[in-house]
Amino acid sequence: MNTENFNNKEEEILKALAKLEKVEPTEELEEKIYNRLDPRILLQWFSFSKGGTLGMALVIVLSLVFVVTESYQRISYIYDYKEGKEAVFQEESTVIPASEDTRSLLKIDKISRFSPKVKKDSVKVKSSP
Amino acid sequence: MSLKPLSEYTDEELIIEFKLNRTEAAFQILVKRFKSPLFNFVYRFLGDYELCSDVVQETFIRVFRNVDSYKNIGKFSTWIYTIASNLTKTEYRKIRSSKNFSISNFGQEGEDYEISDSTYRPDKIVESGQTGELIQKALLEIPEQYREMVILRDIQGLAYEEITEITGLPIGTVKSRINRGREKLQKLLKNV
Repeated sequence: MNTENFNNKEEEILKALAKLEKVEPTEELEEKIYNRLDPRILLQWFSFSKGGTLGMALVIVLSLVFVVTESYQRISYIYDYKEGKEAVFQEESTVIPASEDTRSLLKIDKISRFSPKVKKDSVKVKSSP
Repeated sequence: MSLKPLSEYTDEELIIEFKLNRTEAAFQILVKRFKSPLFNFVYRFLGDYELCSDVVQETFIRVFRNVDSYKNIGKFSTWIYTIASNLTKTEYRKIRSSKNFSISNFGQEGEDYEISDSTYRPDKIVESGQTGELIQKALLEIPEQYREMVILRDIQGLAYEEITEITGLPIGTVKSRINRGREKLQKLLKNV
């Protein structure tokens, strides 16, 4: 486009403005928009859409089921422990016995995993004055 | 809603479709329809291609995120232009404050006086023989409140009523700003 004479002629400026070349965005613009929107689409889906509501409800139900079963298991463990069934846990645990060589190396005869013995002499109890 | 294909929907029908049913294709059509006009508007205001790309992206993301706030009483185009215009002005002020491109000093009529950018050299631009570039440089020289009006009216070709909706200004103010913007542009281009 060649330059035009704009001396005191508003019309010419208006024509030139209207004729200004269109600046086109790059092809990647749309791609960038959608890439930025991807996580939002998921959020929107969960928040608003009908399917999203069902999905959200499903997630809540599954979470509740998980919490309930987990709580039940914990309660039953405590109950079993009180009833004297704690031995069950010890039987189920897989403790690999140390070999004779290892025992001799460590100079131990027994592996006392759950009940470390405490020497009575080592415990000092302060008596109040 | 009618059974015609989405591509034949009006802008308002598309945004309502997207708002109610989250039809992603409707949003995509709106992006295709508006990316170029918005890009032109923002580019003419900021004069920076990269920055313009960021603003246009952000505009569409705002549309997507705030679609629920769209009320089917006005034109979609005015709504999206309002978002773009606000983002553009925010971006422009950020650049201006960071680069110290100009100083603002309110005069008797409350208008901005800007120090000329040293890169604006009409004689040099004329030598390059590019009218478009010359006008773009001159546009960047006029205060933002006039620049916006001139771009919307004379480059984008919007009606006065649409500009009043976009800017939220009374029609009288819009018209006077357009005239003053044109005068300023004419002054800048007079010596060419």
